[in-house]
Amino acid sequence: MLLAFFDWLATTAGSIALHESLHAYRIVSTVHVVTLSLFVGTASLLDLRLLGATLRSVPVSEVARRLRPWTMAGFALMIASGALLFYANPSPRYQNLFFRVKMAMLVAAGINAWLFHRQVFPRVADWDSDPVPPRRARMAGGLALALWAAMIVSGRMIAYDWFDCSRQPQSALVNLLQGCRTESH
Amino acid sequence: MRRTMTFVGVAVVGIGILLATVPAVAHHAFAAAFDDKKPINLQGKVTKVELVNPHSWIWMDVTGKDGKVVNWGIEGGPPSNLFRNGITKGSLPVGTEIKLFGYQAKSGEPRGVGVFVEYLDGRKVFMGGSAPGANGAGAAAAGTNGAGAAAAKP
Repeated sequence: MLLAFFDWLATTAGSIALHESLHAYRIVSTVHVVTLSLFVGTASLLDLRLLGATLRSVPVSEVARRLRPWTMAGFALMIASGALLFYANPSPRYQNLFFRVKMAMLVAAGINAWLFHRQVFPRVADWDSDPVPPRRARMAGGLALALWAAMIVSGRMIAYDWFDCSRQPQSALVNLLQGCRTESH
Repeated sequence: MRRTMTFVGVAVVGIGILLATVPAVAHHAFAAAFDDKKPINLQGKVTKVELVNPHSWIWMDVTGKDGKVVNWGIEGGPPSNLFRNGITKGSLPVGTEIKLFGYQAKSGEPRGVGVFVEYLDGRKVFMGGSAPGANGAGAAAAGTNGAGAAAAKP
């Protein structure tokens, strides 16, 4: 169902223009890498502050407030350029194991950030100037660092076609996880 | 302790950024998927040309010594590289007889990465991908042509 939609998406003018483009695709992928560096780079500074590893004399809320515009801008551009890259090759990405892992990491990191901002950050005033924040804040920071790193690594791995649906036989688990169509052909 | 933690943090971010920067240079490395000790020298008919980012593919039917037809998929560079080297959407219509020099996939499947396409009139077009010499420049190309020629001998 979704796959049929992505197959159709690849036949739209914008997708064709992107995947057949001489320059647009590389420009978009470069923007993606640069902006994800900006996003993960600035987000990591806050995470490291939450771990008590850096900027320990600066209040946590101050670090968060000053980095936020950069983190948000990086995130917005990373998502927009990433969406374009997906749009260029929808079905191959959708059926790529590493792409799926990357999306899972993105969702997990999003939940982690959401829980942090909902449950931990509202009480930042209690520990704002502590060199080493309380355990829950440290956990959120550490988890975020790990999840973003895993996201970047799995994103990088998308380029390797070891598990491509077109390369059968693959293990049943791989086919299941990627949603490969194996019955026909 | 603090300095060590800071260093670890910087290293984590640094490695992440490094890993992330690689695709801007090359989508994936030659050595990860292809074997430089398995040069291939194919001749057959084009069945499909996918001039797409991030990698182009030329698919061709090759008749083996046993008479069996095998469909090979050969990876090339992105459309911009092929365009620069002279391959456009219309230059390899389905059914065109070509020779193709490259390196086979490590997995041993009928897949590989192309160094150059050779038309039967002798014209060569480099495939602009990750294979050594695929951009047709200088010494690398000469070396690869040597390998290709060696492989070409039956």
